[in-house]
Amino acid sequence: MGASQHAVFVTGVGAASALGTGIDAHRAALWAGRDGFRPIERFDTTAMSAHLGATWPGWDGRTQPAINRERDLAATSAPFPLHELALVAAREAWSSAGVVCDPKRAALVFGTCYGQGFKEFSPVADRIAASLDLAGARITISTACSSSTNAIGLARDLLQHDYADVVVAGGADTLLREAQAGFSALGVLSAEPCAPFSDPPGTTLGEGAGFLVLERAADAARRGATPWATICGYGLSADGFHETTPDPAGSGVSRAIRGALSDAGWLAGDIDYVSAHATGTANNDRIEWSAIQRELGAPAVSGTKGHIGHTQGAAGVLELILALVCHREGCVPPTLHFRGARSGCPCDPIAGAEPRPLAVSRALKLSAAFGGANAVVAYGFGTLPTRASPPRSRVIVTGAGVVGSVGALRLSNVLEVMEKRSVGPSQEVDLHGLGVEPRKLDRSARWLTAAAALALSDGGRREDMDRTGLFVAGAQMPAESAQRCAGSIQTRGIAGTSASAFARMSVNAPAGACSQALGLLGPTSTLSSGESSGLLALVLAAEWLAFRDDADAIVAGGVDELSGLPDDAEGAACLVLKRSRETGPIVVAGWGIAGRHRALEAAERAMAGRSVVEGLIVDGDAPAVAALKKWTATEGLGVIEASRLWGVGESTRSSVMAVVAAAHIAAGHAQSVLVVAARGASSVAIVLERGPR
Amino acid sequence: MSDVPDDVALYLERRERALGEARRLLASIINFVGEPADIDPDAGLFGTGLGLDSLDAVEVLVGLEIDLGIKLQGDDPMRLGLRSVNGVVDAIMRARGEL
Repeated sequence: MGASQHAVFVTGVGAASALGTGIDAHRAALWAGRDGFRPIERFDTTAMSAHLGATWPGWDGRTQPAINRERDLAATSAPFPLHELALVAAREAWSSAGVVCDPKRAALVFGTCYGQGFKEFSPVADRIAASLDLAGARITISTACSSSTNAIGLARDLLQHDYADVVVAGGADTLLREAQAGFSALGVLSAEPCAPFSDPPGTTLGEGAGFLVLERAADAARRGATPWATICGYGLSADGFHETTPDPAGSGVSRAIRGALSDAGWLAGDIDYVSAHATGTANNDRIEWSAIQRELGAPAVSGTKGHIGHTQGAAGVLELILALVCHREGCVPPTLHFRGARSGCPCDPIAGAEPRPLAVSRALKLSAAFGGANAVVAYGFGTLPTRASPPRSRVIVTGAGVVGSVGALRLSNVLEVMEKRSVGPSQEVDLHGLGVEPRKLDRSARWLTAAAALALSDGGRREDMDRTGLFVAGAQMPAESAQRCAGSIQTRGIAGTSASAFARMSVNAPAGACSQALGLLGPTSTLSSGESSGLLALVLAAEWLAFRDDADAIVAGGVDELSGLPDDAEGAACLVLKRSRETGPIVVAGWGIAGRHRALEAAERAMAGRSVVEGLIVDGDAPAVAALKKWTATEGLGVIEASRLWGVGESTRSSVMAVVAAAHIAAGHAQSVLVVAARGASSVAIVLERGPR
Repeated sequence: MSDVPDDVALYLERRERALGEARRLLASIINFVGEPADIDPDAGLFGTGLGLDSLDAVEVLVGLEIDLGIKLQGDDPMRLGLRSVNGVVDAIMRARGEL
């Protein structure tokens, strides 16, 4: 208590978008008033409602950057390798920061909406980390179009809580045929270049990558680095309203803005400028502007999708970078193509073609997304007072729920079947019996909603749902909706792409549907970082509750859906964590995150000085398990390897481990259990212990 | 059955077929858990019925036109009488000249 939060500096930036490759190209385009829209050539758009895209010129060979010189990319229709686009920006950010640090202390937080061709998410981050030699924590966030904004916030937290000394954070997405077709089917594309807040309504899809290098201010100052900006806080929230339509009251955006302000220790009147999400669609622009006015009065606001289109998961970071490039010269970016306000939109969102001079001390970057996942980053300049670190609150486990081939289980009966290995389809759960209307939920959404509802009902009483969040691990697109979308294209042609299946075809769609079904409107995030993601969701939820006061409880877990592979398993597992003044029967005593194959480091951090636990539940390869067994003195329960637990999918496995640990403590089998997930892109550990009676 | 006139039997057979098509289409749009045959023909499409929203309504129109080859006169579900499962059945039969 009393210590200040660490200020976090942006010391490197890199960008690749329709405006070109590199920060200089973006600066030049901004001051030339140039946009990046061109007819889409890489796939046939004849049957779609729009034919323009903000495609990266490096892709089609027109102004091919050095990295792709040897490859004739225009000749192939295969999706462009996402990691190559990402690396163009990540390398620029990394080299411009010029930071030298221990690779183990260099982390990566990567945000993407559709990953590599809707299939690979975490492997893209693996390639970026390998190329830049980042051996610290590696986290992939997929909250659709707010992914990279969310990533910047999480990167700030990793520095704040000393999980890393340097974090590369950002996002990337390419323009994929199915995405263009899906947005076309949803009726949200404009035939003309995207004109935020103005006519004609509608958005234009784009692609690109943007990355920041973040460091604690003291470290950056010590080496004489000149910061681009200070990241001061962030907020997350769920709309809990609809897959694609924002909550008409804008209350989701409002909650995320308030979260970011409170994290930064700022007041509403402090904000000089807002870089809006401003997709150009009638609903988004009107609802976002009403939330901005309600929360902040009338700050200067602009949106840069008129320059770079809607770059999906990269939108937040790229638009922040465009703003930073302007702020560096005492300006704010204009809203390109603005020809007068649409009803309910600002009358001067920095109209014009060129950046406008405006002194900015504190600003917000807003992002909203399908699935109702909102993210807001607070950034500023100059000497900013940092908020005093709040005392760490106690976090307790109040319930758990598991759904899978073994049935539907709670904390009280989960141990009965914990070693009953079985794979295959999950058993259906009577959602009506849990007070949930199962209408329109696809398989993934049903499993997650059932597990979350079980976990919440385990706690005995309903929490304040406005202040209850949802952190979810998900490795893939929901398979049923993805197949239905693909099937609609196959049987009807691209013009008949199923809009409703497409809308449920993002990694965070199950979380969005669960938020909607259960009314969980607090902070939300979806993590796609391999086998340790489930435990990572739990650790990040514990951290959120321990150090912030904008949520009272967070449901954290993982979900998997059958994808057709042999021995496949599906289901979901969730725990409810709660911030509590009083102790509870199960307390989250400590947690840790470290790089891949660094399980001991994560465990050491989670153990926080203690040397003995009564149980160790671990998922890892043989050397990692052996090392942990040797290092941890376990008395009582002993060691349980995850391979002994029932067959669950990649995202759910480590959540199940934590549920089993909680169940053993609840049953009085152990006073304390260390849970370690040593597979996956990061190593993650948590210690649960019995609270004092 | 022998005591049902031929034209009534034919009507019932066509209606049953259209109901099956409507149920399958709607079941896929709403991720219906269970057999499509469990969908109540009298259920409303919107609100407290099947809970369709405007996005799903577009999906119904696309499904009718492309999957079932039904030519619809307009794109407003209400004007087309698409208020209930039976309304969808009527629209299918009307387009086929079966009503």
